[in-house]
Amino acid sequence: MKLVRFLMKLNNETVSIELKNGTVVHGTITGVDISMNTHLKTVKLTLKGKNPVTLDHLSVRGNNIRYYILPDSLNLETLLVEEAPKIKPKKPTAGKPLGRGRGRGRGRGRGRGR
Amino acid sequence: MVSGVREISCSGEPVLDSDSGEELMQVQAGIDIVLGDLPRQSPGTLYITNKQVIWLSDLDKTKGYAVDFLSISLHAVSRDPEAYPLPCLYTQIDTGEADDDHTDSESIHIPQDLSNIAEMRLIPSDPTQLDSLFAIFCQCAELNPEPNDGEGEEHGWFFSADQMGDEEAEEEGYISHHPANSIGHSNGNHDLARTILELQINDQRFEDAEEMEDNGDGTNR
Repeated sequence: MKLVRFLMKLNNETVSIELKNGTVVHGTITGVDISMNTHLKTVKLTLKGKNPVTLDHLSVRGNNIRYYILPDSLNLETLLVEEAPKIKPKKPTAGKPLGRGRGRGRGRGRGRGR
Repeated sequence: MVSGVREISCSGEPVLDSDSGEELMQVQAGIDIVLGDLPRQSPGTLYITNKQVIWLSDLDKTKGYAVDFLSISLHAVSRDPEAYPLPCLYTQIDTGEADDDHTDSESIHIPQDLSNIAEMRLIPSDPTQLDSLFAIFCQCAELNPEPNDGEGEEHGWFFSADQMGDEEAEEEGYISHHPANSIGHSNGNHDLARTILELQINDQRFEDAEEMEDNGDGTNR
């Protein structure tokens, strides 16, 4: 399944997110959108080399996320199940043989010799 | 390309790029701004468009700052006095530098020009405006996906253990990742190799038409 589809199921889970600039965000997910923009509440934000600060609500841009640290208690088996099964592609069947067949015109037939 | 915070000058009203579909989403008066460690500037008016955030000073109408939503890494509602003395909307700005490009001790000695500013705080005179300000920032972030994200091409696939089997890959239409797949099996379709072998190719079908000419006496010329 798509990674973002999995993340979109994590509402109300408490996670830590490290950003590409080294900032660490710890909070409870309130929503993840298709661009992986992640919205959290009751957040503790730790800038690289600084003390943590508390924030009520936070929204982080998806492309700035380096990784998520998921809770140990998370049931991955159920979350990784696809909700809508993919349509099975039709298997090719051996039908008419493919080829150019006999052409109608003279094509590039040999010229007559003397 | 990340542009970060930039200084703008205009005649009291921000100039919008209407050709590229930029439109005003919200105007909020009575907003102070703090850029990085620079002193707080007040008062001002915040113009939020679907592309960028523009702050214009009320004291000097020609002076202001702008930052694209593409450059805003995160935004948050800050009410904790330990984080900042006043309730504010805290934003982090992508300056285009990796986290290990420079240390904090180095950056202290560098005079801050706007391109280095990685934090911006917006302080409304009425703290009850914070939640609506946060909501509009969320909405505009969603309106500005990464330009290089292919349409419909979200983020990478990943598989649970049972999906890694060839049978599951075939059922789901996934590409099989088994390194030992032979030709014809590489796309998870196990019948393909057999189908190819079953096709009896008649070489005559590929000859040019009337290449052999009959003389009428049974001999070919």
